[in-house]
Amino acid sequence: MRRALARSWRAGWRQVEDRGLHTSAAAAQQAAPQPDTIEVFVNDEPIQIPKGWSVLQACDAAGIDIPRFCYHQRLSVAGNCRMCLVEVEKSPKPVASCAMPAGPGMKIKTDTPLVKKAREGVMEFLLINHPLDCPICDQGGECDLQDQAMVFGSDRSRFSEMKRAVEDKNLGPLVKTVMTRCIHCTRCVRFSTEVAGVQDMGVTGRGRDSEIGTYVEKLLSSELSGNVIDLCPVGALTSKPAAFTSRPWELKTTESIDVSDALGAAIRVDARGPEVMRIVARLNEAVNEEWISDKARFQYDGLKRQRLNVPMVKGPNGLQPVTWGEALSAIAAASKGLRGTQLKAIAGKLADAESMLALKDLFNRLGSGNVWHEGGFPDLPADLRASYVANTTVAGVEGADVVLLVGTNPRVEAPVYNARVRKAFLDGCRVGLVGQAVDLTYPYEHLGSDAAALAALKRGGPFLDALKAAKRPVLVVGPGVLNRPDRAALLKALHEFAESAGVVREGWNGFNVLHDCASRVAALDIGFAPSAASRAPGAGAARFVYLLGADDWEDAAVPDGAFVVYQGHHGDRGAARADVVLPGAAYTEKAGTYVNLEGRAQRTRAAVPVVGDAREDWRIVRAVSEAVGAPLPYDDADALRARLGELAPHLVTTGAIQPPLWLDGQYPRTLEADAAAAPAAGPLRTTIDNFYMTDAISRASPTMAKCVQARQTMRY
Amino acid sequence: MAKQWLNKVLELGEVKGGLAWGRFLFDGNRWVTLMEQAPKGKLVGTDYHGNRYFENEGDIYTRKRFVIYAEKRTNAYNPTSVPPEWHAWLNYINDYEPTTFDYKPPVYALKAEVTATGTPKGAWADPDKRNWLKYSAWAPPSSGARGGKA
Repeated sequence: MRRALARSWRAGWRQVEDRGLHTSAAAAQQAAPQPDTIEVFVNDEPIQIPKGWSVLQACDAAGIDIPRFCYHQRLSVAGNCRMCLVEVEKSPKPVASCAMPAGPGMKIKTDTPLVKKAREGVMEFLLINHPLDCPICDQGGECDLQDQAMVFGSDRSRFSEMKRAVEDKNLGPLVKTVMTRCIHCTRCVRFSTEVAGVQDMGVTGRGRDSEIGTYVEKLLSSELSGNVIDLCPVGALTSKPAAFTSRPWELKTTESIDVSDALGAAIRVDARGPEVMRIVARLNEAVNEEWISDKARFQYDGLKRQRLNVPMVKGPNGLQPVTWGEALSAIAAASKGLRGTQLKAIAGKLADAESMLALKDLFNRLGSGNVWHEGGFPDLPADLRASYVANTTVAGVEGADVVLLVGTNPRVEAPVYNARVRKAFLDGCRVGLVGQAVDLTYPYEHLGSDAAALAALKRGGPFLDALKAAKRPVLVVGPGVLNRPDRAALLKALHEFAESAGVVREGWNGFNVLHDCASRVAALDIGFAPSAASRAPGAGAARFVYLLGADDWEDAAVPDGAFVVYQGHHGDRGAARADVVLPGAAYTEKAGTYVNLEGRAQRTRAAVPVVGDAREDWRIVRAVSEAVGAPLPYDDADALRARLGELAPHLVTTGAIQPPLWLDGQYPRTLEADAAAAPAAGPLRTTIDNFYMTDAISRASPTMAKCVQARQTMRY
Repeated sequence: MAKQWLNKVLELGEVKGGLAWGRFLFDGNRWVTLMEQAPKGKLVGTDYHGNRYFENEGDIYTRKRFVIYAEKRTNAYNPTSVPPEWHAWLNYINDYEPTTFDYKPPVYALKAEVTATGTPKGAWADPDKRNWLKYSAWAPPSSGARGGKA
């Protein structure tokens, strides 16, 4: 009791110090318990916790590890594994701490003989029907059951009856099931129902005969399905593409960033030697929590297919391998004497900020501002940062009370972002959609599909009223708007709508733009956009085109007679068209800066070496600059990043967001010249037709091909 | 004497032509069997794979019985081509010569096939297994260059 008092006094004094209050009256006031917290005792240590926390959360806060299988902090409480039993004073039996709310003054004991015996009993029951196949189980080494059995398991079995066996379920090409290993924690069921929003998984049967499955054989139809692999505490759900390929202790882990969509999810790249063996999610509360999309998780086998490993130059027999020197002199010869719009650069979906900056600097030195970013809207005006990023931030959309999606399908453009919107919906947020009607995994009000619906919405109606009355309204503008030829008119209308509906107000910016690829925000940030002269209709056709990993250009963007240089890591459409191929590095092989859709600069790390004779991308551009006689002034990565910081300071403060300025009502004026024509007809639809194949890496991935096939052949 | 011995070796080993001699010299097991044991041996029988079995009464126990494989390619013969009945005789599991002894296989027995060693993915004989490159390179279209592992 004396210790407890001393501790609470110290805590009170700390608070006083923090607030700069030193009078004794203030100290007395501060020492009084906060009304929204309660005090509980974990193993006789007092701790203040918020009201409504469970006993397990109280123990976690006190730094006491409670063993668990079914409890997960991001899912609802199931309380069915019984592993988290603790003793609570005045309770006749041990209680499941995950499901028991902590009460004021509760005395929790976690290290008594009763608790130990209870957990040992639970473990014995769990192991009754669990097979002894750890040596051939892919979860071996990172298995919760294995770890906890080392603490609470017995060294011998008292079970002499038959173990049960369960038929394996076919969940598609990504998730491998060995259902005999399942301990029925139902994390996967709760994840797919609550977070992914697909009612696919469930429990059938009861007691000893209960099974986890999809009721009838069908594909796990979520874009987040791979997360059940991370969630499964045992080896019942494992990665099918990574089955029997590696053990966790053989792998070198590298913390990196995903580039398969614009979200920039935090990932961990696990490599063995020069091979990426798997990619798993990493925690980043501000971006992806702990989920990643299936494309981010499973496209890594594309990194081993169709790779460019030597420079090539086109000769009479097509592209032939050459040395770097020969390739560079071929570029120098082809670009000699060309100036202005005769030169053209197109950056691809996976280009990092460093190489785009180097390429832009090179073209500017050659007297050309003809630099484009591929996709349907390369010339989006990028003068005002708030007009092309998600100002509410990814985490901020969770708190929204009304969300209006325009021309977007976040389920395929950024599935984890969609899970955030779904979370907001579950908290009572009202969601409306203008655009093609799609399944977003949550119900929404479909307000129309074309620009006319937007105009009608602006005139009035219940949704506009809700938006105006909302405390935290959010407007999400997707690539379905940005890739249209009448983009300027639509954007102008949307900006005016945002102002009039109060989406942007004092202390709250609800205007969000959702992009469909990883490199676009960085490209707009560093001004990788064509100059006015190159955009003018009179600009001549380019005779020299430099493709920086660009594979999805419009046919007209690369003229027929042009000399094409392709720099990239995969042989795809760009390399097939090229006269010179320069092998670059994929995102797992270089340290590159990517800016996600909310404007957060993040850096990938090199997990594996580059393949063959390939080089890091910005170094290639630097070498090209030397060859064409316009050397760039930076020789190492630090100097390049210093230049990056000169141009856009937020690009070098990785991991943070610099909130952009919102120019009240001024931005639409810049669009006035282009927005003269009224918006055209036709639905606002997403740019992504096929979620599993969006860029060179995912197109080269056999696993992604299997996913596409499964969507066609399996029931979902 | 030496010439007779060599002629016997050539006859039993079916060694014909210069190239065959080269192979013969570089295959240590065949060399030992043919040069040291074969001429003294008495042919006991031939199995359905064409392997010939010999016995040399004058040699010490466990070295009396030997086989000359039907497979003539260097280092390509496979001990799994020995059928179970001959395997038992060859390894002194029993002394029943399969030519004279009426061996009754069990009902579930299958005909002994040569194990196709080297076919699984992890086998050393698989060229991919011995390839240190862990990626496949892109082959430009219509250039005639070969794709696959470089």
